[in-house]
Amino acid sequence: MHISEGILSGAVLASGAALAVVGTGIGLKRLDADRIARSGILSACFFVASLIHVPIGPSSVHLIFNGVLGLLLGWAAFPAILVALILQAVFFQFGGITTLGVNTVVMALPAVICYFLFKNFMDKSPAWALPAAFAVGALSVLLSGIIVGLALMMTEEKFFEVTALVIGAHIPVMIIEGIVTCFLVAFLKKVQPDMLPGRRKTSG
Amino acid sequence: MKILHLRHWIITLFLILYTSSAAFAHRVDIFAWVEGDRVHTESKFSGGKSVVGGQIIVYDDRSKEKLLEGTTDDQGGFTFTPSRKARLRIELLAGMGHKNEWVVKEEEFGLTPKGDSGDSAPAALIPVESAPIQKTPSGVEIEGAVERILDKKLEPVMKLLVQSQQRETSVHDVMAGIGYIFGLVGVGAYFYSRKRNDKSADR
Repeated sequence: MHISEGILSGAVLASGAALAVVGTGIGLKRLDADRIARSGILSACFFVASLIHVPIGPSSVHLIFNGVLGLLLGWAAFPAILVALILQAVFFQFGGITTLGVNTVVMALPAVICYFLFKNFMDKSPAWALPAAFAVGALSVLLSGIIVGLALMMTEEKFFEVTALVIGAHIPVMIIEGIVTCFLVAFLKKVQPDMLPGRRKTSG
Repeated sequence: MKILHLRHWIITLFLILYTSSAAFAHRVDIFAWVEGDRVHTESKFSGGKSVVGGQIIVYDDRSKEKLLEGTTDDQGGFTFTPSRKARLRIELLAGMGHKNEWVVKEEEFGLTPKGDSGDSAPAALIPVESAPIQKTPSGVEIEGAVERILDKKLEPVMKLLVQSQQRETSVHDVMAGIGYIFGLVGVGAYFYSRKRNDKSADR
């Protein structure tokens, strides 16, 4: 879902960069000692996840894990994803430097949205928490697809066509990420429930 | 016990994910080479998966004029005969915001960048020498034949080049990236602890 260089218009690039700066600013402000280490680990996870290629479907897609990042980091998902995207652009030539802002918004905004939608389900019983975890994994990818569609629509392509294409190609990714998020939440609920949101303070 | 089970599941899941495909995704590459009058292109995602139905647009790189368009076939290939032998910029749009391009230089068509003057001297010599014997092929014919044979012989080499053009992500890249992230965590922790120390010093 990385948008390459030279596709988007200047206005889209600029607004994407502006949104990314705001999100990263909020995220950095919310970082505390605990979250710094956690952001780093999850940033590394996001960085590597893009190498896990899902060989289903006509197009070429990979895992994203932005839902997991959002759930465990809240606003700090913005800086974590920005750092990972910079490194992906430099080392893997995924996306590009000029599209960093847009790509950060594509991945991080759904993460934060899912965080606020589902954080209160996490300390509930597994009957609530696990479906919510699946929704976090799947919905974050779905929302990313919609933002990609929006970004491309501003330039040339048709919104519904592109969005349908992106989301269609990512259905396997959505399912896998939903399941992985389920496992992760089930695991953390048993071992380290403090890592999940909703239990302690409610502020991100 | 339960926890152990869960952990096993997660590890197995990741193992399956990793081993099911060693391929890497999410960049498109296009590579083009000239064979006689025609230009062949091959388009692939960075996992080695061919770009099927990708849009290809060919421009004259000097005049920025659009020459032709097409779509890639099932193997990610697309062949065209350009209307002029010039520096071509071949753009690939693989959908969902994927894009890349490749430039075919004039030299690949057997042209020198500034006109075609250097090659004509040896070609002119041959007809003069062979003028008495009627059946000897002309310089142009020999050149054409050699070019055809060379193109045929070079095809596997070009294919090899196509494959080597695709820079696979290496373990080094992954390790380097993770190293950077850990370094940044260190920087973050440093500034955070300084901030806290300043605060406690103020009190």
